[in-house]
Amino acid sequence: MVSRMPGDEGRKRGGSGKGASGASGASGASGGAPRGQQRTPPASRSAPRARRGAAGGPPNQRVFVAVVVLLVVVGAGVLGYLANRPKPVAARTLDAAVPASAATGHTLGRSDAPVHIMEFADFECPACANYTVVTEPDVRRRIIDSGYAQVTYYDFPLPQHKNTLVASEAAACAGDQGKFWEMHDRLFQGQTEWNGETTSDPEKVMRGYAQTLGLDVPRWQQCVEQGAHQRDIAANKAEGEQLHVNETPTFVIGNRVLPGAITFDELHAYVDSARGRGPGAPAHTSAAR
Amino acid sequence: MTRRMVLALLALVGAFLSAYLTLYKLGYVGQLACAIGSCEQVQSSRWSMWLGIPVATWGVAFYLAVLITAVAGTQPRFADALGVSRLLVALTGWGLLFSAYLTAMELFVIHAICLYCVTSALIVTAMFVVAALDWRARGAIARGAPARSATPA
Repeated sequence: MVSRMPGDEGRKRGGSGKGASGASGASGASGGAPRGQQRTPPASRSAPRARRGAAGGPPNQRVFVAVVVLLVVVGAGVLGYLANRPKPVAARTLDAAVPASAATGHTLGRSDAPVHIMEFADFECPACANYTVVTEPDVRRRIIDSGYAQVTYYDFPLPQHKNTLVASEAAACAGDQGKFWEMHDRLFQGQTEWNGETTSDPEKVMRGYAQTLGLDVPRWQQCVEQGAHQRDIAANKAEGEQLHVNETPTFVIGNRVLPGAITFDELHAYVDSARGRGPGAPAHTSAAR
Repeated sequence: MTRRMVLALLALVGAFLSAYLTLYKLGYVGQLACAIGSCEQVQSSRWSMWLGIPVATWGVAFYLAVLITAVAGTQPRFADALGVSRLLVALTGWGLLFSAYLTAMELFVIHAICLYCVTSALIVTAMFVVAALDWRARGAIARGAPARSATPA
């Protein structure tokens, strides 16, 4: 890639006594063109340059200029195209044209928080449990409680999880008594106690949680058994489907849709980004990963 | 093609790369074309800004500084200037250190890799190597030419 400089070569030849300056001093030791060499000032620094100019400098320079011009034209063209092309609406981008559904989710945090986080999760999804147990305490303490963001949890029950709908009902019914988040946390913490691989009677386990949380258990149980929040849960899931959510957990922060597990640092960075851009950021600047 | 010309071409490529990321930060190019890695995650992180200015914009300034210096170094007036070589080594050395810092942030803090950042780091590394070779060659000439020359300079 790196070729030897003509100037370097001239200097090296000069150093060995065979170059331009050396030749001028040795008066024809290199043979040939004596008249031209006699005109060369001895020990002149301009000699190598003269050689360079006469033996390949200009063509070299021309190639260089040509490559630079080519790069500038191509680079400017590509940048111009990228800046002016129609912005595609990616699958992971919020579409402003999609009307809001009746989904309400379950919200935590200050209503005047500058950033809104949507979390689509399945109570029986291990990655969601991992997020809730490991990451979410930090998120609540450092982002939600600090007023930087508000989070809304949306049920996104996956069909392969047979006990997840009961869990969604259990949490929503606890929410009727003002303890959605307490039940939400308890369900995720004890996911392996009631999931489809452990039991076919998850409600029994969840009843224990309801008692521990101090809920009015008969009222809670009636709510769960009646499926009082089925429509809410379906609306929450429909909200996710409208946003092209297809895995859990998926977060929507500002206008960015982030499928999959997320660390605190990542979430914090996206919240920072959304705060910087403001809630009305254009949809085309979306999509992480 | 001389080493300084190669340096200038590398700097030009790097400048366009940084310009692309700057346009992204300013919201002009929409979604980043990022087939490998997590470019947007890195570009949205707090480490994508330095002193209140996008790192990509600093990158444009850096590459342009190298480009201008290298192009000046190809001119006959500065062709033999050891100072130009030193300046190029200093500039690219600083760029190399900053790139190493950013790459470490990607690997150990953000836990995501940005393809463009890696490419830029490779360009900076190549530029540093070429600048060092240029410096070494000029230094050898500066030291050796007067001693070996048949006539004193």
